[in-house]
Amino acid sequence: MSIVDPRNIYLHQDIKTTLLDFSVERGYNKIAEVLSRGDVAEVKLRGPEEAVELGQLAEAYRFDTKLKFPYFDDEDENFNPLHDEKFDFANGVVVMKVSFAIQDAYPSHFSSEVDAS
Amino acid sequence: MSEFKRQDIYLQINPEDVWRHFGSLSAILRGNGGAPKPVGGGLKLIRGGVLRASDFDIVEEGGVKYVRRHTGSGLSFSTTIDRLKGLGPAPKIEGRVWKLEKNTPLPDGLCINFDKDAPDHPMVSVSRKMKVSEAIELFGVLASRMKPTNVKIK
Repeated sequence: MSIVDPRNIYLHQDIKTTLLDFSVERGYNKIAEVLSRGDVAEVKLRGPEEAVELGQLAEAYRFDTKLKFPYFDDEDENFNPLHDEKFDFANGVVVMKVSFAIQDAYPSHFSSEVDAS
Repeated sequence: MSEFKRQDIYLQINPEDVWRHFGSLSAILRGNGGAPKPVGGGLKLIRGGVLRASDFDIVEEGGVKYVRRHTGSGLSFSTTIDRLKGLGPAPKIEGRVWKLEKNTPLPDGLCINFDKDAPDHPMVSVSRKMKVSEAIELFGVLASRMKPTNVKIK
């Protein structure tokens, strides 16, 4: 059963729009509905399960970016600055802001004692 | 409607007070960094010479871009490695972890903002309105004061 514990988190519209567009494109309808709630820079979560799903979506977006732009690592001999720029947005903006926002919103759910498996 | 969380739930810490506030820590941490030079490109707090609108409150006046003080904005840092690795089911932040060691000062003009309910998630931002070019310069100074750790999150 879902835990009902509503929280509002704030994500810049560039992040929210990126994730909403990605979820719609991929047919991830449940999380797309979550992202459609709230104002331009706000996401209204009904509980920690939705926060986990939002984190998974951010990770999926990063995976997608890594597959499209694989030469982002500056320790890789094929390093490409364009790939670094794309990965930086996925990892350093989208994932970082989402990860920190959901950890801030549900600190007891996102703790080192919670089994990530 | 603001692009950021409302400001009244945040605290701003200016450079002279940072290590009084975070006195129990040995450093504050930034993920998503590159490998140290000359192997990689270094920390790169600001990539490509551009402040992202998702991190800062940017306005254009008379053809000049400014970044405004907004306590709900800034580059996300962490007080713990675990948070960067993703607590519980939270996603990890990939890349090299860099640190601002205890008692290393922030450049004048930068500050730390944080949500009173999330003190382990400091954000580094500007403490006053300034040209974007000045802010980029200050973040360059900050990056030069930070050191790589041996932790690379994959």
